[in-house]
Amino acid sequence: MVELDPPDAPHPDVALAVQQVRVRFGATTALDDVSFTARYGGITAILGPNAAGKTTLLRAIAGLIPHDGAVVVAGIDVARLERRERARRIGYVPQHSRLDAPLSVFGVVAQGRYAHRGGVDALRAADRAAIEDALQRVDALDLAARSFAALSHGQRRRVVIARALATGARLLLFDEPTASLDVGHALAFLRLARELADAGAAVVVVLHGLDDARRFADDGVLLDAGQVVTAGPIARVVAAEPVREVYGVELIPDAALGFREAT
Amino acid sequence: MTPPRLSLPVIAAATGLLVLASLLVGHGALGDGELARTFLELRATRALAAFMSGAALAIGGVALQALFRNPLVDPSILGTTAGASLGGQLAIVAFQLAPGWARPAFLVPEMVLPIGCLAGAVMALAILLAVIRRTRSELAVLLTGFLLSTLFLGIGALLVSMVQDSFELGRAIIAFTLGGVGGAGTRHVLLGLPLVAAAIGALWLWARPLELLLSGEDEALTLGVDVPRVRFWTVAWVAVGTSAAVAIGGNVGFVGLLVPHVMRPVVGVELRRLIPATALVGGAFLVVCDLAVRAAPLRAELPLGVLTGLIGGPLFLVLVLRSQREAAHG
Repeated sequence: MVELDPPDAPHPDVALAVQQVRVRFGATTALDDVSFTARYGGITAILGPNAAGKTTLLRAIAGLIPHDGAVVVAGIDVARLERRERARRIGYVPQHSRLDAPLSVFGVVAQGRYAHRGGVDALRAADRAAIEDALQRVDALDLAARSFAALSHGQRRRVVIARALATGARLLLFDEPTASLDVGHALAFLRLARELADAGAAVVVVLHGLDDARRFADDGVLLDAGQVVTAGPIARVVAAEPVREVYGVELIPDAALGFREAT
Repeated sequence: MTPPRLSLPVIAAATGLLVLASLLVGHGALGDGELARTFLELRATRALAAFMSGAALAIGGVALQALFRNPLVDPSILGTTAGASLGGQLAIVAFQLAPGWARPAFLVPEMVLPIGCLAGAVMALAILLAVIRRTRSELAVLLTGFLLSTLFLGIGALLVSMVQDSFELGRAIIAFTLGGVGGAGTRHVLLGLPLVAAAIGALWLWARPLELLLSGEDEALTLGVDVPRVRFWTVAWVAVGTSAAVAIGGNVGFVGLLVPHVMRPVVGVELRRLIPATALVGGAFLVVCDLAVRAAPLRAELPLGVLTGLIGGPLFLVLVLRSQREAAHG
């Protein structure tokens, strides 16, 4: 584990510092010189039109694709971390999990403890507590004994989120979590993201809807063609000028339909 | 609805009783004390050989099904047993034809076959992995396995026909190619036992990261799994187990497909439980199959692989049709 030198050391609130990240796929440059920060206790939305590089950026942060530049989590360049150490610091939830096996829900969430206990050790009290806490947070404690394969789409998603929470990571990455959800489920997810952030996590989420981002995120990163157009507080990112520049549309303040969860 | 779960001790006890009972069945009568002892020894060696072979092939199926995230693969369908078989055939020929000075003194004849089989199994799995790295299609995996299997069996058949000039060599290679545990001696069993035991133990130790691979490589990586290492060692230990099974019992197909499929509803999909349960029941399954070919009123003994093929072939078709149906409705 290598700590950065004091002059580079970020503010203690900074969970993630993406520094001049560049990703190439063959001759095409998917991400070019991307830099931004995300903080603990906040939701940072990664925004942009189709093919802007949002998912690529999230995958680069998660360590799934090779890149130039640095991804610094809690002051440590993750390239220098051993893979299990990295898994304990970064939780990643893909848009669609490929898991489809009839494992027990408890067993699936227990997979999140792999980075702590390895391939052979039995579950310790701390592991059990983390698993139950994770299930509780996504409101799935009552599903623990069920078979994952028998769950609904929405339940599966909550269990996969619980698995990421069980890693104990304080940086959580979500790839388009609301893309295939109806408005009710999308709101439920965004409320969960807010709860996680309020509990001290740094939530970085790829979103398609600018209205959702505006209402739920604290900060935003607007990408276009692999480059950052603007990054910072969400009100400055989802604003008339950058939206016109990137999407070619006019923002109408307070014009969209608004929804909230029924009480 | 969770199906009733059988505990491992119950499965182990039932398996043990079945294997013991199999010793009492056969053509020879056990009335004569001295003769009975010999019969029982022969049958025990044979049962142990069948058990080891079945256990190794069955866990090979479990491990490959997890690795490829595909319930339709097993060492025979992916060409691993055919590769091991071809490796064994080449080893027999090379050993017989090599001049005396080229045979190292430490190389006892019983060791030649397992070494050849291991080389063949590793080669088969390496080619398969290299080909399918470029695709994620399940169909491509199955087709590649089928092509490899056909290719290896074809080369093997060519080899068999080429060496018929030498009576001894021809006999040895045909006996091995037909398969069956009838020819397995105590030395074969003693040589295979540590390999099979090591393969089962090692795959059990890799079970947890292998199970994380059920979510695909990306999710496993982000949960801390060293995916290339898990893939390498899974393939390596499946190759060791399969080659020991083929060296002992020849090219026996479908065990790795059939047994895990039957065991999943019984013990669940968790690999820590499924691997030992499948090893036990896979072993017992081949003991029973061998009993059937031993006791069948046929003039010549039916090769073991023919019987498992007769059972496994139709089942494979059923599984393919069911998975197509699930995909269509899914």
